[in-house]
Amino acid sequence: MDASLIEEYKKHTTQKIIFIIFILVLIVTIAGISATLGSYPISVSEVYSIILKCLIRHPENTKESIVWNLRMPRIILAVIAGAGLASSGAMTQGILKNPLATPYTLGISSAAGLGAAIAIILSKGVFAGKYIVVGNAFLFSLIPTFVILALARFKGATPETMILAGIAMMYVFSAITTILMYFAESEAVKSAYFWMVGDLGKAEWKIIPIVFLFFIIGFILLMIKTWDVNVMMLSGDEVAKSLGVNPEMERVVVMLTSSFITASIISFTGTIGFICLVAPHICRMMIGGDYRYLLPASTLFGGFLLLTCDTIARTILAPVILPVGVVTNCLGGPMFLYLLIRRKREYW
Amino acid sequence: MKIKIRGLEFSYNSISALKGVSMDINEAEVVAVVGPNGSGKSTLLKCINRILYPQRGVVLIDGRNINDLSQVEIAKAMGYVPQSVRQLFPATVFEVVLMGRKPYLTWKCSKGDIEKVIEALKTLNIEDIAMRDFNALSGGQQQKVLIARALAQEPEILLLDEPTANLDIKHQLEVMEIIKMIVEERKITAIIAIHDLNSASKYADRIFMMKDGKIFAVGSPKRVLTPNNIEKVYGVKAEIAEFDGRLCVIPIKPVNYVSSKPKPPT
Repeated sequence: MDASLIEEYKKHTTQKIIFIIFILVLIVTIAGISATLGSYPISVSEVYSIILKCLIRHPENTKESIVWNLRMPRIILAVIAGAGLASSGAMTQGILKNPLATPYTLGISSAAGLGAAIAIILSKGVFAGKYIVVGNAFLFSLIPTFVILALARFKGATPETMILAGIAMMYVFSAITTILMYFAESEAVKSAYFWMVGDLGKAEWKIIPIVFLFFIIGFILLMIKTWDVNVMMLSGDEVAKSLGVNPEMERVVVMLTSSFITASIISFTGTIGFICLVAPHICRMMIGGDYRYLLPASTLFGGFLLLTCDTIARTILAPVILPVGVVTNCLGGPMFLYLLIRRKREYW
Repeated sequence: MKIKIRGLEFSYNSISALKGVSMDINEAEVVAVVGPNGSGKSTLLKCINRILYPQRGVVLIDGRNINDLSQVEIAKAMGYVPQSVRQLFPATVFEVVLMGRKPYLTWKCSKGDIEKVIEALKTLNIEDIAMRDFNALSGGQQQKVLIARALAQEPEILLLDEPTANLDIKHQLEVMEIIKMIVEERKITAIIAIHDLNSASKYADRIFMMKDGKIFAVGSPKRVLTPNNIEKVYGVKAEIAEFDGRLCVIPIKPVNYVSSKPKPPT
């Protein structure tokens, strides 16, 4: 009995690890395919030799420049952004014990949207630099987090309070954005609107290190917290305390970390929807709710999902490039519904 | 571990639940805390392992003030089995019990941790359902799983909040027998908040009877479970019968209760 139980537990664990490795392989494969696709025809073998070459020196001709300076940053940003959004979504759902909770539900997306809209609409000419938009979106996106933290400090950080406060702020920020847009010029409104849909068109090598740094630090922090989130998901606050976990503090730390990851991503890409909600759920259906495996799996799956969606966005109506946010919503919605119908057991 | 409690006071937003509770609990003892709804039993348990912070008073375990201990140190010393089993997030029994190892874990869970989980499952005789979904279990099985989780903590003190509420009589007996057995085998202390006076009299070495946030009576079941005490604390007229060497409480009727006869139709 003893041995067989341990065996069974190990079998479950191995399955989860295989799933994670499988997604990793998928990402590399899709990235390889994605690099060959685009309006400028470059063959598969050429693409790989260009990538290998450019790892050591700068691109020399148009082809090399297209692959290395246009496609590669976009692919890498897609993976990091997807991974970051999915990891913060997974942890937010867990820490707030709510299947709908994501950093977006906590008001981050609409706050970032307002920040971007203010920068786009109010800054003309001299100040119209794109980094103003990025910086402003980032600053604004942190407002809801700090409001919620303040609320937690004085009123106690129950999940319900946090989510309700987030939703309240979402409405407020959306309303202010709408007022701004109502009085703005149509060109500015258009670009502000497109910012909110979210796309990866702004990808370039320069921004990769910043986004990656936020992501990797955040991810490591979240990985450290997976046991605590497991305990909190499997028991109420009181039992969590009796197991040596401080639920209120964990909620604050995880929320803050998730918010920073999300904010750093969406201030460059705009609010790409659905990844942070859907990727964790799909992984939960596949490998269950143990966060030690669920977090890395969701993270990789998010990267895979966004990369795939972006590849589709770039090619489906080529030469027109759709904003990836549209594709994630169009594909993610039906796919998620399908999985909800198909699932065999309760997973939440 | 010996527990010494002095002058414990706790109130929820100015509604006071504990009004100066003092207790001395010995090693390897089963202690039942009884009392009517709202008398402060659950609050008392939660103050003992600092799920709640008492506003006044101290809890000493083996002479150490629990305020000087970290939450993790307390978790290693005391296991807590909660009152109601709410629907959990879907998880296997094994995963639920594994959470009991949390106070000892850094990130990796070792073979030793896994073995401790299996040992706890075996003690409760539930290793055959280890891979089943917790939510699909009956109330009695769920209660055993939660006790197994507390055991996986390797505590020296077990705090159980109404472990037999909502269980059928077989599971009630099984759960109480298991607790008694654990206490005897491992020389740990069990503090059980319980409504069932008959279970309390059968399994507890001593009973603390609470009323309105205070200890009303302490001692052996025979000393505490008297018709007089029960009437004063519960407002119920009861008779105490002795059966097979132990006490049986037979409730008769609430004091001051006027049975309302249906009025004849006019």
